[in-house]
Amino acid sequence: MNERNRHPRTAWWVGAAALGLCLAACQPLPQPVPPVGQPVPPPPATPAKVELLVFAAASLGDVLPKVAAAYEKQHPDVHVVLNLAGTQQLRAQVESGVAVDVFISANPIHSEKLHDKGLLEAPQMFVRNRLILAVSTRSGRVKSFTDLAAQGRGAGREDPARHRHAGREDLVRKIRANIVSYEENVQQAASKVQLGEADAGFLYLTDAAFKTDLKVIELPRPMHVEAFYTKARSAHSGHAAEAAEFLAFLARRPAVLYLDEAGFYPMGGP
Amino acid sequence: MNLSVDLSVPLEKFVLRAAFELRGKTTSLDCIAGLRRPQAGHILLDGDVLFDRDAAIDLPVAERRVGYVFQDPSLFPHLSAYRNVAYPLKARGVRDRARVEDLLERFGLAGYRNRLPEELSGGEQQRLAVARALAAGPRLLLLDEPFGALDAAARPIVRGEVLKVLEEQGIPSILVTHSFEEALGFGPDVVVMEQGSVVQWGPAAELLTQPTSPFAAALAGVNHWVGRVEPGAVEPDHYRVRVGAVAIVVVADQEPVGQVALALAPDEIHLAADPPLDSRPNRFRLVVESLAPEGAAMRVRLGGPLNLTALCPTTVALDEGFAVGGDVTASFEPAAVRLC
Amino acid sequence: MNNRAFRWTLGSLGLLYGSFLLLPLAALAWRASPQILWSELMRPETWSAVAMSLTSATIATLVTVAGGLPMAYILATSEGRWTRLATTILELPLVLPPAVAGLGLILAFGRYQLLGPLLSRLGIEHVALTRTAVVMAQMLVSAPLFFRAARTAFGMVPERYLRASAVLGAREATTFRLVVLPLARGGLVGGALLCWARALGELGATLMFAGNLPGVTRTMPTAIYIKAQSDITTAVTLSLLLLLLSVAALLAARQVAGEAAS
Repeated sequence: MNERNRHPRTAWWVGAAALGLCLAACQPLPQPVPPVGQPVPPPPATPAKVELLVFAAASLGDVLPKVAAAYEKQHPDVHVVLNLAGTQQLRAQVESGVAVDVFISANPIHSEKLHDKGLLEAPQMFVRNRLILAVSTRSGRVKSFTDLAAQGRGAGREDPARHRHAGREDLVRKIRANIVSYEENVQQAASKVQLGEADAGFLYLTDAAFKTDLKVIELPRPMHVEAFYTKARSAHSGHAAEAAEFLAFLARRPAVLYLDEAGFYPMGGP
Repeated sequence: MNLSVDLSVPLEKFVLRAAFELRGKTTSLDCIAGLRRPQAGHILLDGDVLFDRDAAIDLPVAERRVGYVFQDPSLFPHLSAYRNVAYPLKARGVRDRARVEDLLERFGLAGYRNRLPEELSGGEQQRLAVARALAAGPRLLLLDEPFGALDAAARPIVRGEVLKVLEEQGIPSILVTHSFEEALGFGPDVVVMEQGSVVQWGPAAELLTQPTSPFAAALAGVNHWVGRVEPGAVEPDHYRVRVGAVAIVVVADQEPVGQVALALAPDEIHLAADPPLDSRPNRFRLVVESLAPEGAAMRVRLGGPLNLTALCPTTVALDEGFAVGGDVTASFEPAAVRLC
Repeated sequence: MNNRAFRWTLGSLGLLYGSFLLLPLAALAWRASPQILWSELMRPETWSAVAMSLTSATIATLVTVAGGLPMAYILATSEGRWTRLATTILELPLVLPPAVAGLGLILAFGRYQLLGPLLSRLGIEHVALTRTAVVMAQMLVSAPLFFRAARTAFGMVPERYLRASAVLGAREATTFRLVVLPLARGGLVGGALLCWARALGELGATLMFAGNLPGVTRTMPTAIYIKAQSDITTAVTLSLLLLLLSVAALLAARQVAGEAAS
């Protein structure tokens, strides 16, 4: 075959390949999937069901699937799809236009920001959680909060000095000197304490619940740090009624029981 | 494979002439060098035990002081010619610049001391390989077809150069080769191995005149027949030996009896196109099967009532118009045929 | 297809593939901010992460070369079922997710794990969450790259040189030093560079086993990963910095290796 015949064909080939690559690159991101390690909700039994997209902070990962299951039992026509990740990550997804019906934040700032942008309806207070010191029962070197200032190796996700603790700066400085790792997430921090690699770790109460090999020690008053969870309906939810019902369901039994069991406590007080 | 070699070699230059059983001779050399372990027996060199199965002695390769040049020169590609020759000295922590320079000089490589092996010709590489082997100060040098990879024109030249140095240095050597002329040029003794066993061992001339087997004869290029003696002399000291359909007249002092082997050198045979058969003995009308030039001569293979190979001057072959398929008359003197 | 068309097709496909590889790097350079790059360069924390990355990767590589070289040689020059088995096991970390490698390290060297009591008796209280742990994590993940390259390099040294060396009176150790190492050098240096680059980029096993403490165990990849969760621009800028440093170091290493070769 001669050359003149060949070249256009080659060009076609390359063009098609380039187009393919471009298409692959331009395709919208698939619907959010639960990160690896999170429970995957079962597929809907019938396609006619309403799919309720719930974005929630990863720390709710143990309890929300139970709540969702209970909700689906009461509402057989609804299938709850959970997307569990760091609140910041979830916020970025919503900001980039990913569809959502219910947004549960571990930090009021993120839901407020989304509300300000008109993406969420006004957030409502949901539950609370608090920072505690988890000590390793394996190592047993740290038995009280003040122990950690003197000895041992601590781990946590964030710098304890980030929070207010009027009058205890000296103690905090000593504790900071004994921190050997700022873990990427609380689960990692918890496992380091469980394994005894760290003698103690700053965790949220709910991260320490049901964990073996560690003991919860409350932080002294001035260092008390609380996390507030908020819940909100999307301003553009296609299933507004179901979303509102789900928000209400979160405040009723059995949802409150599950939450309580996991260590979350209601806004009123512990 | 089952190889049995029984060589007790006096330490003077001699030739191990290999048969076509390639593994046999390489295995022999490997065992002597210590690269391979024989299953039984012993190897002695100059009174030293290199290997003795029964006494559980197996001297490590590095301690045998047996030089070994492979068919492939196997020069270290990252070292210059000088460093290649100096290698065996360096391996023993010795520095002897004069010795290295002397060896390079002897093999005509003094000008190439800084070249890498890949920058040398095939002949230069092989000379360098021998120089390197000699630098180790071997008690015995094994040469496994070292000239086999060279082209036909370079082979005799390189061989001559290497031979000259080996003679100067007086190192006992064993050469493995498929070429009979190479073996003849190398040393006084020839060993013929067939199927991994030694079949003949002695002076090279003996192989030419008295091959002990068709195989040895074929190696030497000598005609070899086995026949039965017809009782009674044809004339004084002349006897008739029946080989297949023909009879060959031989000369012997005493009457041979029974089955005998006959050997006839190819250049003892006279070929002519025309002369018809007459009553004289040892004249046969045969068919030319192949013609192969060999230097100034022509090797002519003949078939018919008798199979034989003759060597005749090329001019004769051309003048007489020999051609494959044509008839020729072959004749030879009864005295040229050897009984063995 | 004629030769020109063939070469054009392959060339275009190669270009396409090359752009796919280069695009993420270009995007990093595009998104990085010069101001942030400057302010990050001014922070001692950045430099401690850079220094930690460079030193730990270098130590990991040196230890790997020292330990992997003999093993690679032994395995390259032996044959049989056990050799194959050992080779497979030693190269296993190649397919191991880094997080699994980190977990394995904790379970082996953790304070209350397999070797913990023994180490404790030797006076070593902690291995996990220390600088040593950073090096160990990098080693476990990157060593197979060197090991594999070394084994291949040794395996490619023709046996006839070893035989030649032996009959010239050299013992195996001498042959190894004078023949095998020089002939395998190219592959060994390449493997070491690959190993170093992989160690420099190690994240998963490091986070798992060594944790993250700025100024101590924080490496560039950890810093980038942690930053990426809160401040993308800084993360991008640090990535670019790491990229530039790695390229510079690799080029320098190649230069040094190239000079040594000639």
